[in-house]
Amino acid sequence: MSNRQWLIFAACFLIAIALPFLFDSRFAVTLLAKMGIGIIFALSYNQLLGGTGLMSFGHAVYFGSGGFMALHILRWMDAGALPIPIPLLPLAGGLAGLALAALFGLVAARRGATVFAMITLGLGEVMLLLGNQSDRLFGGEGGIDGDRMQGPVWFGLDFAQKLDVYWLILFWLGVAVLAVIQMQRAPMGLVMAAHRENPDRLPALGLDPASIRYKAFCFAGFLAGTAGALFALLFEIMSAEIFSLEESAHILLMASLGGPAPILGPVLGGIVVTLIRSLAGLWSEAWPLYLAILMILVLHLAPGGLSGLVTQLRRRPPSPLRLLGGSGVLLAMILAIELLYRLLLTAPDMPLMALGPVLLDARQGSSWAGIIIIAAAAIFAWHKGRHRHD
Amino acid sequence: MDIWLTILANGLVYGLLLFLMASGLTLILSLMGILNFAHGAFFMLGAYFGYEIGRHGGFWTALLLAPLLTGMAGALVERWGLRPFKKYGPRESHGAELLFTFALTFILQEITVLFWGRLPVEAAIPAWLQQQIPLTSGFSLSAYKILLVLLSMTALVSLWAFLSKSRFGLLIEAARSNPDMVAALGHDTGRINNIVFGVGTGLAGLAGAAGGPILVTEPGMAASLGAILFVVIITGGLGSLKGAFIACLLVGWLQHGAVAVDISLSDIIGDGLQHLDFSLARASALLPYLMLILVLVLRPEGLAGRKGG
Repeated sequence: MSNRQWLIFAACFLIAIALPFLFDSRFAVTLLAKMGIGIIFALSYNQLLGGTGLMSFGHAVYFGSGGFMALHILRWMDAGALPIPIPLLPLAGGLAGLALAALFGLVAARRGATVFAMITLGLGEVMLLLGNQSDRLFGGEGGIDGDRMQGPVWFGLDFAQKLDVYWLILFWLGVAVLAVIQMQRAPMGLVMAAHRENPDRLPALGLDPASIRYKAFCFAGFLAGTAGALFALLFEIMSAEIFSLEESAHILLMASLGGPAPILGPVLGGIVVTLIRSLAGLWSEAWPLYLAILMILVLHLAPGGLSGLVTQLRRRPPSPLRLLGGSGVLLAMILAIELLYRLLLTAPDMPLMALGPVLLDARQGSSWAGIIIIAAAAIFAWHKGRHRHD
Repeated sequence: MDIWLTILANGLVYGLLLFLMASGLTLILSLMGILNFAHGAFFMLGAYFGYEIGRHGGFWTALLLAPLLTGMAGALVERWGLRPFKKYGPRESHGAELLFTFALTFILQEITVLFWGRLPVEAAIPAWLQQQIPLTSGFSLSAYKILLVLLSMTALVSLWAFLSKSRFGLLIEAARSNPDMVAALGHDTGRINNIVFGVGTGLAGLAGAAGGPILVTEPGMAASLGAILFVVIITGGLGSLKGAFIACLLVGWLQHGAVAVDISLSDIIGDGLQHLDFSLARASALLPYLMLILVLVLRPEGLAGRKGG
């Protein structure tokens, strides 16, 4: 890494250290901590997606296994078993994620991209089913809980507050970033990139694609387990719902939104998706729908994700008409969705929505006519503003 | 003896329904190279359309209209959602299409919850179809399930006839093996893709409309059945209808077998089973995945797949 990149890296870390002092409410600190965990999780996922060209639809499984391992260790410590320093628990979680990935990878890594995706989905379903059935391992509906205020005090951290966990998260985030950087430069990382670019050519070069997939899978599992353990330390509880398809979908969204760049992508994706997930629920009931629509928008309009957006915008700057049209379509869509949600779910008797001075009513044809007009005009502008080669 | 007939019959009903879906998915996959992650969601759409139309227009109208509506929705999705990805070239586009259909599953699920809520809905079966018809002494099957078997077989035979005997069907088969040549001969491959996607999703919609009344119609059915669908097509071998058929029947018989055998085991063992952390019946949902793992380890290309797939 060049000196300039090291400087940027250091600057980002300084900002990350300063943030909880700027935003010191409990909500903000929790949000920052969740972002940090999300970035580590996304780093692990991008090793598969952007690094090796593998799409996993069951990655939450390794995250969860790390979390459960951490919580079980906390319970053993509470019961008087050998004490493990809390800051090392993410390592234990990582090993749990590695172990599970090593096991599942035997099945999943055999086949290439498409089949791999389906197998990981199936494995995710298996863990969800197992998780809901086994009370001893995964705690059933209530989940497993633990107490992180145990063991010796490190650097003045007794882990009484979430802020203490945040510092631990930053530490492990640094470790994860360094690991990823090293992986990029190592022969393993280059071979993973080769698999991404042209998997069929690898046997001709004497490389075994399945073996590459397996090792990448294990590495990603380790990092995911680390993130999971940190999550468990932050919230001191975890249930089998962590294995659900929704969780795996969210990590997929983080990586897609962020883009394939090994570090910048997960950072951007982790921050943005965590923000949306935490805050969007405050503004709209329809936030899961918005997340899915966001994913589709990214796929269609910005396939390189946020990290590739700058390059994309520079290469093909969108015309003002296009921007106007696009915003109009988004506005019309959001209005329609919000009105529908009010009419059908939240306030069937008074489905109203205030947009500045205008009051929209889902029962009034005029509101819907207005939305349709906006949409039609926007689509027209979008179409008119398209690039010659689109 | 009766328990085996029950397993055989119920497994057959379930397996055929599954194959209605799997055949559509396989068609789409082998023609367009797209793995339609949203196929379970189209099944769900079919079930909900069937429920809603059934409430207002009667059972047979629902059975006719729901698949058509689902197929049309599929065609629209293909035209506006999937086709733009083709410009990226075969490799990148497959990844983007996969992610698109994945996100589509959630969109369809949320829309369903918006209109019909999160709780299961009861799709109605006409009274005359609810009666049990005795097949042998001591074993009877509900008329509805017999209808399902007949319906599935008719649909599948029609599909086979369409693909192998009709002109357009032959065009589809040709496009499966060499789409560029078909396009060079002057045929509109875009329209072929569109129709195949519509037919495939329509089949899923038919399975949903027909199967909804006996399965639980709720938004989660998209994800749970979607996962089983993938188990089935990998086990059978990607792109092979024959393999998918065998795999579907296997899954049907495995799951119903496990549930039924558990009932008889508890008659014999009684209280002993309560000490186990989980029973065979509760584990029955896991069995298809275990079967998948077994097949992947022993014969990775699937039951009827070709090596190197």
